[in-house]
Parts: sequence; structure tokens; C-alpha cells
Amino acid sequence: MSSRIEKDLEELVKAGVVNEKTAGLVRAYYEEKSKRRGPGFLLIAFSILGSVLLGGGVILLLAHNWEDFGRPLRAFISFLPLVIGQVLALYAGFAKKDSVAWREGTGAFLYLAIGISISLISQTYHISGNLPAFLFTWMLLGLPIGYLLGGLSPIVLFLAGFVGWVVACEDSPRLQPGTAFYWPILLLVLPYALRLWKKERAGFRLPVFLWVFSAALLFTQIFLMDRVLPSYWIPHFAALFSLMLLAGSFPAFRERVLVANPFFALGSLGMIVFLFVLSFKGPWTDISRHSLRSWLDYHHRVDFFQVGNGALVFAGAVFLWIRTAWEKRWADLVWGFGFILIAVFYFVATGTKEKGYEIYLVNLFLLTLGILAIATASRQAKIGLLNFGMLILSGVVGIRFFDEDFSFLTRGLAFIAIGGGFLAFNFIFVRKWKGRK
Amino acid sequence: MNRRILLFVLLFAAQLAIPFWLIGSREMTLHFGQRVLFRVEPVDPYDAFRGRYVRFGILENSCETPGATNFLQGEPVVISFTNGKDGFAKVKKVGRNPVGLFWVNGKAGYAQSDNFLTLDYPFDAFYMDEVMAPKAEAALRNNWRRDESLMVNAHIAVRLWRGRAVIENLYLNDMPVMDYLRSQDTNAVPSSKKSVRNKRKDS
Repeated sequence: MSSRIEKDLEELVKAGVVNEKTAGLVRAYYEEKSKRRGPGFLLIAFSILGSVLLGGGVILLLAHNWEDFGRPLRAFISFLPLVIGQVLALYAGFAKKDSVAWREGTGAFLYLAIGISISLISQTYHISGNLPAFLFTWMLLGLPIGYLLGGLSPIVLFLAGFVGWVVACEDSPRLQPGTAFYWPILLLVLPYALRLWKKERAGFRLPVFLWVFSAALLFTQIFLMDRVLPSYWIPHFAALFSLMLLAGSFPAFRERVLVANPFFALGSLGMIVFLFVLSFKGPWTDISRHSLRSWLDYHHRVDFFQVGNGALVFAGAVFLWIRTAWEKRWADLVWGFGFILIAVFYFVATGTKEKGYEIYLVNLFLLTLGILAIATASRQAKIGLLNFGMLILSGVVGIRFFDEDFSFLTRGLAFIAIGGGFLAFNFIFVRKWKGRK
Repeated sequence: MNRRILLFVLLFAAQLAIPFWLIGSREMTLHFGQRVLFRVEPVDPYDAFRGRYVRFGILENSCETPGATNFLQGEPVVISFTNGKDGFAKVKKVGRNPVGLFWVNGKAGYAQSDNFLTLDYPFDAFYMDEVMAPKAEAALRNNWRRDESLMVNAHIAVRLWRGRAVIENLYLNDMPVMDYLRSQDTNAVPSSKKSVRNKRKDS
């Protein structure tokens, strides 16, 4: 029990707010709670950190390449980290089943040991190798540790390996299996996520998982967008951010604090930044030249992964958007509307010569989101959201004031109209409020 | 509980199987394989090492192949060899099936012309001790300076077995690389430098 609560209790008893009996009950409650929480976050964090450092140290030691040991001895040593890791994992999985720190620590070590063994053998036998295949094997052999031991650390290492694998695949596109397996591999962590969701929704592991997962998803998607089709990123990112934002705004997620809801945090922030980028003329110029249609005219083939991946993300966003509409969460519906708006603009822009109307509507949409955020914040008394809304509004206004994509006339009229609108809104609102009084 | 133990055992067996297979197949190749020699040259001298391995290119890296443009870059091919008169391997044929006694599974490079194909071998690096690797690099790098007195002859011995290749050793001036480097260390370094300087004066 923390000393602060103890101090407060004493003060409350002295002031006569709480009697001795209630104070005793409160003390008992906190003592029980601290017992239930076990050894705590710090111990677990240290055990993971220790294991990872240990594994890293072994990698470095072995990288020295002990020529003098001779081949048979080095082949034997290659197995050592793996076998030690397995023995420790068995011990943690059966004898120390209740200790999260043990399971997390040994899981991380065993995961690293797989990579250590394989790379040590590569060194001994001069296998110059194929980095994507190596990472792929490592990932697939390591992931089940997380499921069997129930630890999060192998899952996190798997996701880190996944990012590395995607980068390595893109670096040497001729060394497949390749990113055609992107979604099947990434979704291998889904059962683990569901288990966390069901069993320890209040625990610290779920947010950690969600953050690592979101980061891996975002990074790899951004990385893969560089491929083949220029300008395809416009509808794709819009769909990706909308997907995350919509997923994060389901009530089960929304009731969590923002730090524990990375889908919403990254999705909404990403969407706003992205819309700001699209509120300039730059990204929209020459779209028809870079579009899918003209690409097919020149190359007569499509990158199936890129188009398929984009379609999948888009379909996911559409599905969540319809679910949101079904549940009548109107504000979320507006927030999630971005990808539809952008997709329509994109496909219209690829067919016609640019007229530049997109940026007007993007700006309008940004303004709408800003006002919506402020309105929601004032209704739910959320100061963070209020600031976010103000930031969006002042961003739009500030950037547009100096933006030479619009003429002085347009900017002047728009500023006057919007400013007038705000004042009128205030005027009406204040009168209504007074009237109610 | 029993099912859990079984799953653990299955996973651990799979984890152990990969290293076993990696080691086993290489040991078999070293044991049963045909010994073949290739002359090598350092790859880009300023990126030849990434810490602890020597990257090299095989000099015998292209072959007259009718219809070379039919091969896609990176397509798996079988490279078959004969022994040249100088004792080094010569590419005999590139195709989808092996010809003769020793061959390796490699990849097609790019077609230089309609009937000339470059080759990608499955071996291009020799791992070494982190102290010795930079020294080997320095020795090989001299080959780029076009200074005859400093050039070393470099070749590798490779074992080929059923299309798999394992590098046995790297040789500099016909000595195993470690022996060569040790002999360089024991040779008085200043004197060799002096001789180089004298030669430069002569020319």
C-alpha cells in the first residue's frame, strides 16, 4: 500500500470524514490489491531487459568467430544457446508457471537463441545466405514460444523480426518467399491478441502489444508504399489511417485512456497530418500521369501485392465504417469519412485534368474535424481533445494564410466567412444559453 | 497438461532440427563432395568487409550460353564444371540439368548478349576472426592497386555435392589464409616496405 494513501487516510480519520472501521477496510483492500498484482512491472521489465542483453552479449561474443576452436567444436557450440534457452523455457513453463517475470525473460532469451544458433552455423560453414529466408525461419520458429509460454516478449520480438523481414524482402526482391505472405504472417499474432483481450484487458501487456503491433503495421505499410505505383499512397494511407482510427473508436477501445489506445492515437494523428499534406496542391499535381490507368498503359502489369494490400486495407476501413454507422456513432463516422473522400478525389483526379477543387474540400474537411473535436470536447469535458481540435483549426488557418496555392481573394473571402461564422455561432449560442437561464 | 508437454517437445524438436539440418548437410558436402578450386578477386575494396568476413567475386563468373536472354535474372540454374588445365574449375554448361560430375545450384545473372550469361554463385563470403579479417582484406586490396609486387593470388577451395557448395578454405598465394597472414606477421614488416619503396624508385 502506498504511503500517500496511508497519509490521506490518517488525515481523513483525524478530520472525522472517515471512521476507523472504514479506514481499516480501505487498508485491507489496497493490501489485497498489491498482493494480487504480484512482483510488479519493474521486475518483469528487468527480466526481459536482462535476457535480451544476455542474448545480445552472446551474439557479440560468437561474432568474434573463434577460428581456433575448429569446426566440430564450433558446430557443437552452435547448439548451446538454443539448448540452454529451451531448458530455461521448460523450467519457466512448468516449474515457474505463475511467474510472469520468468516466462517473459526465458521466452525472450529462447527467441534470440534461435537466431544465434543459425547465424553461428552460417559463420562456421561460410553460408553467405539469404537474409529474408533467415529472418523468416527465425520468426516462424520463435513465434510459438509466445503461445506456449504465454509471454509477450517473444511476440514483440516476432513483430520486430517481421519489420526486419519486410525491409529485407524489399531490399532483395528476387529472394522470395517475399511479401506476398505479409498479411498471413502478420495475423499470426491475432490469437495472442484475442487472448490478451479476453483475459487481461486491464493489464499492462495489452497496451504494450497494441503499440508494438500498430507501430509494426504503420512502418511496414509506409515502407511498402514506395513500390511501383507512384501516387497510389494517397488513397492507401487515407484508408490505413481511417482503418486504425475507426478500430480505435469502438466503445471497448474508446473507454480506455489514449495511451492504451494506440489505434486511435496513431490513426487520428496520422489522418490529420496526412490531410494537412493533402491540403497542398503538390501531391495532387500530375496524378493522372502516375495513376493506375496510365501505369497499365505503359507496363501492362500490376503489382498484385500493392493493389491487393491496398484493396484489403480499404475493404477493412469500409467494413468498420459501416459498423460505426450501424452503431449510430455519428462523430466517429465523420472522423472515419476521410478515406472515402480522398478515394473519390483520387479516382476523379486520375481521370480528369486537375481543377484543384480537391484542396478546397480537404481544407473544409479539416475545418469540420477541428470543429467536431472542439464540440465533442466541450460536451464531454475533455481538455486534451479540446486542444487537439484547436490545434487542427489553428493549423488550417495558419498554413492557409501564407499558402500561395490560393489567391489573396479566395483566402480573404474564406477567412472573413469563417471568422463571421464563428462570431455568429457564439452570438446565437450565448443568447440561447441566456434564454435558458 | 500432457498436450502442453507434447507441444513444447514438438516446438523444441523443430527448433533443433534446423541447426541439425544446416550442419548435417554441410558436413556431408565437406565429406563426400568433389574438391574444386576457383580464382577469386576482392569485391569493391572499400566495402569488401563488413566487420568479419571477406566478400569476394568468382573470376569464372560467366559462360557462353545459347539463348542467354531466355534466363530471367535470379532464375535458379544448374552450373556444371570441368577441371581446367591449370587446376581451376571451368564452367562447362549452364542449364536446368547437371552435366558431368560436379555442379552447383546457382542463379542466372544478367545476359551480356544473346549467348553470354553471367552467373551468381551461392557462395560469396568467407567468415573470419574479427582481428584477422581486416588483415586479409588489406592483403586482397593490393590487387586493386595494379602493383605487381604486392598482388596476391587468391583462390578458394569448394566442396560440391549434389548441387550444394561449402567453402573449405580461402588461399592467398597458395597458402591457407590464416597461414599466409601469420607468415606476413612474422616477416619483418619494415623490410618489405623498404623493398617496395626501392622498386618504386626504380620505376
